[in-house]
Amino acid sequence: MNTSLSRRQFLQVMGAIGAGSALASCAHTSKSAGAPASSGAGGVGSKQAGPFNAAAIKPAAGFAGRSLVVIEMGGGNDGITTVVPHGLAGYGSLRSKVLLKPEDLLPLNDKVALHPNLKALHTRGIAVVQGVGVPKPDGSHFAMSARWWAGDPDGKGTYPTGFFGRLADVIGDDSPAVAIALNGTTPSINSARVASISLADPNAGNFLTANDKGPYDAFQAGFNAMTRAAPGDSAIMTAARKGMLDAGHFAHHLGTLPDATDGYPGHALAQSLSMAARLLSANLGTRIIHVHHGGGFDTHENHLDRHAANMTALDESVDAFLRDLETRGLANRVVVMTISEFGRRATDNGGAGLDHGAASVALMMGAVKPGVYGDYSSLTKLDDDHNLIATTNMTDYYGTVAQGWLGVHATDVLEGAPNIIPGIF
Amino acid sequence: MLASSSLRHSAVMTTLTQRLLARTAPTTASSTDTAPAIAHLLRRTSFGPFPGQVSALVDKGYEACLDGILSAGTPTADKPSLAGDDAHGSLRNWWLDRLVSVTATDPLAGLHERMVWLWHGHFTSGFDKVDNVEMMWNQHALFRQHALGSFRDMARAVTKDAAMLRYLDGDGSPGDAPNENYSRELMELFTLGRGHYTESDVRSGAQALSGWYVDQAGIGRFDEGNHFDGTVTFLGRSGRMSADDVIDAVCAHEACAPFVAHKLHAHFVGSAPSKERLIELAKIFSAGNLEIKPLVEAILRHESLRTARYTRPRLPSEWITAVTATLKLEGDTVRDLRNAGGDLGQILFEPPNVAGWPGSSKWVNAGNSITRGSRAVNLCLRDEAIRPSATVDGVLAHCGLFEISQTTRNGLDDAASRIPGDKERAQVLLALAITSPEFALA
Repeated sequence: MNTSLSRRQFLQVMGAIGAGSALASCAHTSKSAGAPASSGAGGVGSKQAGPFNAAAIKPAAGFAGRSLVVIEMGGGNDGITTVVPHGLAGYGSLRSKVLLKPEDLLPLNDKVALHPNLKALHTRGIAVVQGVGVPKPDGSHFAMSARWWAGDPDGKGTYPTGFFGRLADVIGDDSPAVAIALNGTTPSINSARVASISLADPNAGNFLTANDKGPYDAFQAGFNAMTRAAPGDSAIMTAARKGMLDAGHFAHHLGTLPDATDGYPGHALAQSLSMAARLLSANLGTRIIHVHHGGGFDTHENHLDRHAANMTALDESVDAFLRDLETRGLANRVVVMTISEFGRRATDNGGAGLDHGAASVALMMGAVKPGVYGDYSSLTKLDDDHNLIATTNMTDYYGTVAQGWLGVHATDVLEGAPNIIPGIF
Repeated sequence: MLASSSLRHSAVMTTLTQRLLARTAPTTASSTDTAPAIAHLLRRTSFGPFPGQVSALVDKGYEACLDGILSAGTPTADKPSLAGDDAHGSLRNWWLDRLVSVTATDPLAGLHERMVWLWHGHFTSGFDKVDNVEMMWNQHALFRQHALGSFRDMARAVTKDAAMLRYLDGDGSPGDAPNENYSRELMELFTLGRGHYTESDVRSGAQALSGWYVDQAGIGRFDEGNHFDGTVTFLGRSGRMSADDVIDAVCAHEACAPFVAHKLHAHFVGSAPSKERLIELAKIFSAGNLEIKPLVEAILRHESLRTARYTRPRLPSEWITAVTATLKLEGDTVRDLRNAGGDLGQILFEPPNVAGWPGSSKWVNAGNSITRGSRAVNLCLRDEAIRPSATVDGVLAHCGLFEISQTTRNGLDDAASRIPGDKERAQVLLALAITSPEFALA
């Protein structure tokens, strides 16, 4: 069977030895975390199996003022209740319990409509990319998340960096944080050349910037000395020193962020996006911000209620963020994109829930041309596991953003030959 | 150990030797490493070391400490009061208090507590979905019961545990359309690892695991009428299968012993075992009928543990426990420090997902460095902060750091030279030692 073959290949490439080393945590381990921030970029590139060498790649001119905000909907977002294919053959007989009321849907065209709770985004205009997935899907959150984080659709383990970290490596400068993760860390921003950082409390860096000719200055001198490599440092010791070094650089910029704008709702996502707006308006050289949605999308049971709450949080939070960007004069310079490791099963389970699936939809907001892009997955021809089959490869979606929005040629940061989706930007 | 005077000027000086030479006041080669080795052992087998503990154990020696750790009894734990508005917080604080008190009472008796902590991150469940503190306590008590006992018994018990039934959707899973969540994670994350089962095994396992539910009293129960009515083929076995049969099948699978052995080796030693070492450990675990204690003993007694200094991060609950004891914090200050757990990415009973907390270098990234440094400085520069010593060596010993790298020592020396007053110097040195990369690691 194809799926078991690809799984075996995955493990071989991951360097798995023996049965027990096939530990899922390998998907979480950052291979690049121990790499020094700015050691010779040529050296970093030359060690990689793939073609990627950030120092040798130049983004196209004219894209420098643009930023990307990535909202990760971890757990696996159901495409069918996000962008509802009510006009497609097979829809009526697909699910028995997990069904939205047709009269509540927000129409996009005669075939598909948005979830009823995405009202503000529907009014603003949203770009929907249909059928997003990978050719040989896997049912594991961790394997699929790792593929999305790395931009590695077949799970070949080609890249030591995350996809967004790789983009940052190409488009970033000597900024203290070209890519930033808010509301939780993510391997997707792991970079090799430029600085990327995960951040909890923006005020926590004050101890590294206070200037008192006394204990704080002495502490900072000691702190800086400890960031230097010593003979015999283990890999994790090297990573710890790099973490301290990056912290020092970044702390100096946090104290000067513009204020937050009022009017954000209370969702965790909204708070992260409020911080994102402050960071983007601060001229720190930050080009990519990753935020976790914060809601649970792994809806094996009670899908409709849980998913509806997630859609409300998405709608209200992104709406407030786009309003904030408008007041800051950044509205035409920021694109918001969603990712999720997979969709849900095409058919519902016995408990009004949805098990792990494959292809889904992706949403883009902000400086995009609203519309419906790509083909919806067939509802009548499913794969062997009763899952939707992808029509748009992850690399098509990623490549379109890289090339169309950030000016990075898709084949410079992705393997294969991504199809660029026309018209979104 | 490896250090000897003849090696000191050798061009082939080992990493370990270099580290030993960088540490404080070396005397003879063999005794030099006793304090560092015992401090290291306590970092890996308890939540310490706390101030004074290493010097009290140096005369005993490393091997005798190890014997003590492996012969310690199973401590009892009375159920805490879980009344009030924040019962979840009460349970979490009770456990964090206990991590401190168990290590403070006897640093050689912390292994059981550490295993409970490890299993909580392995067969994990979280408040967010279970939403019932009694169930979370019962699952916690289950880990206490089986922490160093039979892996099979623990797997059987956790499969029918109410919190787990809720967390991975076994609760009410019907035989005719079973929920696959637990079946998949049982094999992928708990027992076998990827590559050792098929999607068909996931479906069959879900059928065999169907029929369980959580009753009104919050206890896992079996309803024969809701169980899959038929034969299944699961991991090569066919027949009518129960939940216990599923556990027996995964425990009998050739991938199970290496998978668990790998996890425990990575936890204690801080790195993946070699292929040969993994085979060896898996053999010990299998031959012992998946009893956990002999496996742990084999890992702890091996030379690889003793030499793996500072090779894994201290996870936030380890770091918070060590800081609480090192700075002798009490009351509201402790509560406040614990809030850093969320910023650092580990809140007990609230794992980020079903894979528990990863063992990666994310714990020492820039964001966490800012959080840890900020906490250390704010706590140490308070007027009411303790000032155990105004010398670099005194502060390092207080923090359990009996071997440090040259650049970390340089940092402390540099800071010390800048502050003439004993009081301020003591405070800054303590803040720096707590912020050092060594203190962030285990």
